[in-house]
Amino acid sequence: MKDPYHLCIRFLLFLSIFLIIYNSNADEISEKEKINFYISKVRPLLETHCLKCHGAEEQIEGGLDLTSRDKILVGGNYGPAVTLEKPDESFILEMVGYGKETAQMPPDGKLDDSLLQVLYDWIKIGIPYPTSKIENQSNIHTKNEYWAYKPLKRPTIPEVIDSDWVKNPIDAFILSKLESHSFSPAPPTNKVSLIRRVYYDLTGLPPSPEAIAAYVNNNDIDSYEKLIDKLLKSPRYGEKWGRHWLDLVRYAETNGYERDSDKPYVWRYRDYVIKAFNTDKPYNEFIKEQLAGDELETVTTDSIIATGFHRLGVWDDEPADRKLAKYDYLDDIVSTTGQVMLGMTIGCARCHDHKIDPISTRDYYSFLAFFHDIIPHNRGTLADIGTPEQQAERDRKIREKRLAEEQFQNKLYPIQENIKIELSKHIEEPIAPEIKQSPIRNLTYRFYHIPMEDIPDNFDRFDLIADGSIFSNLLSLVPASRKKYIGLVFEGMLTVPEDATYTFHVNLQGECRLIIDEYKIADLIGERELEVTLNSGQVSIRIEYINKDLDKPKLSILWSGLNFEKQPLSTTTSIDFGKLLNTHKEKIESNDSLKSLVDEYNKVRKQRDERRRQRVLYDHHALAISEGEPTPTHILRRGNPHLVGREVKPAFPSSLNPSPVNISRKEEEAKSSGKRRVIAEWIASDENPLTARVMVNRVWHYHFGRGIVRTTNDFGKLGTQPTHPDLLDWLASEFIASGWRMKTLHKLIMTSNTYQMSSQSNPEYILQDANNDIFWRFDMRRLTAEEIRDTVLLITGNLNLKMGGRSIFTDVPEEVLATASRPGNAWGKSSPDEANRRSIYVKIKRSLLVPILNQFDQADTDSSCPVRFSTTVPTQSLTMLNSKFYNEQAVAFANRMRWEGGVTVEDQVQFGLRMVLCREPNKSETQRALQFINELQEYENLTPEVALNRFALMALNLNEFVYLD
Amino acid sequence: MDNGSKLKSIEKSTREFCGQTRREFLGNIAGGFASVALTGLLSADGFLSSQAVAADNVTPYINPLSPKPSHFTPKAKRVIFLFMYGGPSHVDTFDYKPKLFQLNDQTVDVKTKGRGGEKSKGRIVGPKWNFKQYGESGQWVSDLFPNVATCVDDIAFIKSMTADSPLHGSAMLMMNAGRVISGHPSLGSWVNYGLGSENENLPGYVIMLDRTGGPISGAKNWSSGYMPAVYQGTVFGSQGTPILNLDRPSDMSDGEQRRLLDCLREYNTTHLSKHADNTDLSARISSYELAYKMQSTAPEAVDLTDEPEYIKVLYGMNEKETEDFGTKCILARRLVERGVRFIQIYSGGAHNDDNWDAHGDIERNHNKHAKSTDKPIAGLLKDLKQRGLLDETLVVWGGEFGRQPTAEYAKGTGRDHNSYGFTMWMAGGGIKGGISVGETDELGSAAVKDPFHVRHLHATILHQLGINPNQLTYFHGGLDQKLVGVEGAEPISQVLS
Repeated sequence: MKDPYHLCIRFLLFLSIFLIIYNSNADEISEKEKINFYISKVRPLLETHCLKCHGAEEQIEGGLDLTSRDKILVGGNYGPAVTLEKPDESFILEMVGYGKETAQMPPDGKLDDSLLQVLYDWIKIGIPYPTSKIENQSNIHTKNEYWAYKPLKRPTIPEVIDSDWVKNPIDAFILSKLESHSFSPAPPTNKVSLIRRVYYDLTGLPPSPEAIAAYVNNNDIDSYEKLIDKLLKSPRYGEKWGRHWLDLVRYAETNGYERDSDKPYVWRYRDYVIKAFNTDKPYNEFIKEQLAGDELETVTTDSIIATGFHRLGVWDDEPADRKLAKYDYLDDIVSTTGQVMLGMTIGCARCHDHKIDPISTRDYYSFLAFFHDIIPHNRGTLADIGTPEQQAERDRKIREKRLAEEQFQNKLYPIQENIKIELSKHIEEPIAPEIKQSPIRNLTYRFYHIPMEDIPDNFDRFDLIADGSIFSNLLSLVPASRKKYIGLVFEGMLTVPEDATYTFHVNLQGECRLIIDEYKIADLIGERELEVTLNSGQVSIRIEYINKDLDKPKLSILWSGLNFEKQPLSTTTSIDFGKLLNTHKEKIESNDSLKSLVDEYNKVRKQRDERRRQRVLYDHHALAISEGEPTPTHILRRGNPHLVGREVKPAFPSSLNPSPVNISRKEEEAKSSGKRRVIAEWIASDENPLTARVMVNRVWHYHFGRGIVRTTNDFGKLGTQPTHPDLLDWLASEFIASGWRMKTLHKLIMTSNTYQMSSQSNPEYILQDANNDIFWRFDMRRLTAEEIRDTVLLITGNLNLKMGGRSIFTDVPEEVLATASRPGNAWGKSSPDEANRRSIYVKIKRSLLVPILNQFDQADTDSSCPVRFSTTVPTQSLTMLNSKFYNEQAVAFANRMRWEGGVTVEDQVQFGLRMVLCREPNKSETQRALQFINELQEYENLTPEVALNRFALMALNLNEFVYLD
Repeated sequence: MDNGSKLKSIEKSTREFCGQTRREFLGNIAGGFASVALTGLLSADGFLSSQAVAADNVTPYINPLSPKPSHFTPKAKRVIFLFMYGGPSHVDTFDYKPKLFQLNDQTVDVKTKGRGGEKSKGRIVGPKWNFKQYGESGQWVSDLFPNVATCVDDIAFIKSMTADSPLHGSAMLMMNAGRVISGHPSLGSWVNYGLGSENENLPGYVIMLDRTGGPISGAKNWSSGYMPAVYQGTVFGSQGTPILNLDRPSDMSDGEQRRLLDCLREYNTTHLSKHADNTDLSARISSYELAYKMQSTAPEAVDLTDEPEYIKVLYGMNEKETEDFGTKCILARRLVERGVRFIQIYSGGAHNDDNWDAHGDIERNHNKHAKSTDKPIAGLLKDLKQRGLLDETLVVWGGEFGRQPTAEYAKGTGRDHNSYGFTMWMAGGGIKGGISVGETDELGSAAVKDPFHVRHLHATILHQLGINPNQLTYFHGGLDQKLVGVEGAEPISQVLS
């Protein structure tokens, strides 16, 4: 730019006209009028034409920020934007005047003259600016007007005409709307349908014929309530409702991407969720524990396990851009927390201000700041949750083991030395020269079993076979008791003689990673030279090494510096010792003293190896949160971590009119910043306008098949609006008043007449409200993937109701296993009994989906799944007709009919139909079954046995079986 | 009713697509733009679709994959994506760099990034194959692809491709789903979501894997992400049963199954009579009839017995090395003929030298994989052409990235990954043949002239199918998601005929 301060003549003339007109008024305008002028004229202009580049949080073009008076006066890269003493010469006026080709603002076209006039007038009156932050009074981002952000107020219960129908206030809200449309609610459903509905809703399983009979024949006035109470106490309740929560929090048991490695102990989180529902943990406590269970006043084993919430998402252990990967990881947490707990699509504001909702990029990064110190996945994800006794026990065992190993090691080393001395007396050639003084100190090794192709980021998840010190202080593969599938982690202190650049000469077979002074130098293969600049003194050195199946693992590392030639940091001498003994076998055999030494050596070595192989078993870990040192959070322009913008402090979304954030570490030695506790308490507070509304809406959704707000993860303007806003608020108020108790909420909803309506259609109503927006009936729904599989197993008598623990592997067809990049390793095998546990316990592997669950619209686990799809496609029918699973279950079901159903085929099919339909079959249904079986025998030459098997398969395919009425 | 008109128009949408298409519906009304998604929704609602009828000839079947109109007249109706998993070396195949031959074994300054990290210099590995010019257009092809070389006048080479990641895990997701982050729908899912499928007796999106196994991340590569599972790819076996659970149990006859289905339909029809308004129930009844039809039509599609011998020879099915990929290519043609919308064939699977990931010995690796694919690919192009199908079938060739001009190790000819510049090619489906667009530098290390991103490739594929890549959206997580990303991308105009 040549001369930005030059003022264009044409514009000068243009301005001077205004000068004449307005100059006389300038002094007479009151402060209030000035502000009003700003609000009514200037602010819209700035917002429309300027602030996108000179005020949006993520980018400040030319360094010029127009969001406060001070900033305008300070100006950008070209100096002050406004010169109050000489308004006409203000830089901003030159730019908007479009005088020069190189300096024209706004870039997409010159402003209208009327707007130029506004700008000039504003400068002329001294650029009045009401507050320092434009966003606080911007009308782009309205707040407190949108219903979802308004504080919760308990609505009055509406009056209705048919007050007899009102069992509880829910009915009044529903009926009032129905009456206003001249609708009547559907009649109550029959007791048989109702008990099936209630069972599935609360337990995910159908009632047994006995339970149905008991309920239908019980005419006590409170029998329905008692039924609900009973089911809420059933452990099956937590399994059913826990599954809903797992959908929301993207629960999966592997990390995704190339290796799709397991998330160790993630199943404890699943069990925590099930237990939380079963024990009716207040919802506000539930979310506080997940967000900040490590920072709460009372930290428990459960609250630590709960923080696994942060660890459930996908994680790329080998990202192309590590910095971006860190923010992807945090974005996953922010987006999930925002959508699941607040019904806010905060994640949309990562790159730009939210297009519709009042969420700015600044809000996004201020929200992210609460989570910013979380250590990404690779390190520190496991928390020790053992009791002090368990930990002491483990420590004792480790000490014992170490001691025993040390004892053997101490015995072994002198023997080895003695053998060398003794041997040298009997042979002519020299034994390997003694190792030079090593520059490494305190060298330790850890030896793992690693069945991997590539070097893992985290060795801790593999079996630690052995660990200990290396006395020679030189790296050596000797600690590994075999050559293949090994991993070694060496750690020690390297003595650096002076501040200088050193070269590391690496030559290896296998793969290794060099980490010096806590800084990862490189992943290495083959022969390499690396230059590293180091400061003098002791620096940590860590070498990680793996060999999969190469016959000759090798690790040779040398270093050279300014004043010394290549010097070994590793040795193979110890490996030679075995060879040494081998080479001189005959000599040893012929010499008694040598032989006894070597025998002794071999004996001790054997003992040591035996001891070394004994693992100290310790299973008390949880996948949990961990934080690093607090670092400042910055706004990232367009979400790009390499375009760092301004620093932000943790803050709640501004549209929710929040109180300022106050963060204090719980105690000096606390492992985390305490920030997550602050956001957790804010989200879980009675005052938060969204939290309770969002959760009661979810509960409603899972009971009725759709929420009062259908978009249960999005209460923003892009979501659907509530069909019954007052009902939503009333439920939320009740929920909070009950102490955030889920079971109270279930009972409240389920005892309403609204819940007990039939699904029966009404030809008139369906024309007016086909979508049932006003709840004139109960909507049918298809069973979920898990409900279908669990029910099949239940009625065939195969369901194993064992709860909790490590996930199980149900059978997956060979064709599906073949799609994995390591077909043999992709999936495990459980015993038949274990494989028949409830679906919530089936392993969830991101890269390998179990067809019988996936085909029936199991939740996608890469992001929060608020609502299950319910699709109908022929491949589902193929699975239910032809798959091994269904055909095996059909045989088991037929066997049950034979054994439990009765003597006659009629009895047997009636038993079968009763099981799948949860009701008494009528005559024609029984007849149809008998006819089918007869035809199969008569025309298809089937034995009676096979014919009944086919009937069983048919019964498991019935619409009435997979749909809930 | 306060909301009456809206109530009617959104009937069923929420039940089908859990509230997401409702938003799209409203959004599109507001925008005045009848998008593919909208028409898709309407057809799912039975408004526009040519309603298929199930085998009982009575029950209307509303298939979520029923054909939907494109944005504009498409050039291509179907896509065959030949995925060279592992990353073929562009400088050894189609991107001729004379300089590399000269610099063989010399260490030069060149910026690279691969699994071995970032480097600023390296030892050049001269290409191990000679290059010649082919066709009237004179395209350069190495001796690795003598047969594909005879088709170059139908091929547009894009020699300046770039991607965001030089690491398999994320790069595979990027090439298949446009993002390095897991969880997004793959290209084939987008195509089926946008256009539906033309043959409801076959899946609309077919994957054929290498016999050594799937690519890393397995099913994530053909995932429908946040879209319903109906849009995910179906893995098609080239031997035996093409579709999972397609075969009746071995001890069940057709007659038995037919009786079972008839009996099932009777029960279901009685049940339906009490819930007549529930179209999900009738759809489920029809889905059994469709499943029954699939059992006969799908095996027919993969039955090669009536393919004449000279055709099999054309695809290399008579030779051991090419038989496997040749079979998949001939199946792809048969599926294309039957209206399958999107077919992806993997060359290479599992790990290491089972695919194009030539870290150790480029010669051995590429000789093997080029040999097994060259003739089948040429056969496919020629066969499509002679049947007049090439015009409406878009064939895409390439891997998740290319390879570096330099050696990965101190010794040997292995090359590390390269996402700074690589080659992909397209043929048929309205693509201009006999051209090369974009260039890498003289070493082939990075795209320098007209660089194109994977997004541009995706945009080009969608565009040829008659879809505006910037208007094909799916609402998820508060955003109108697009295959080509929030910022959008234009098709590569140079390759459009």
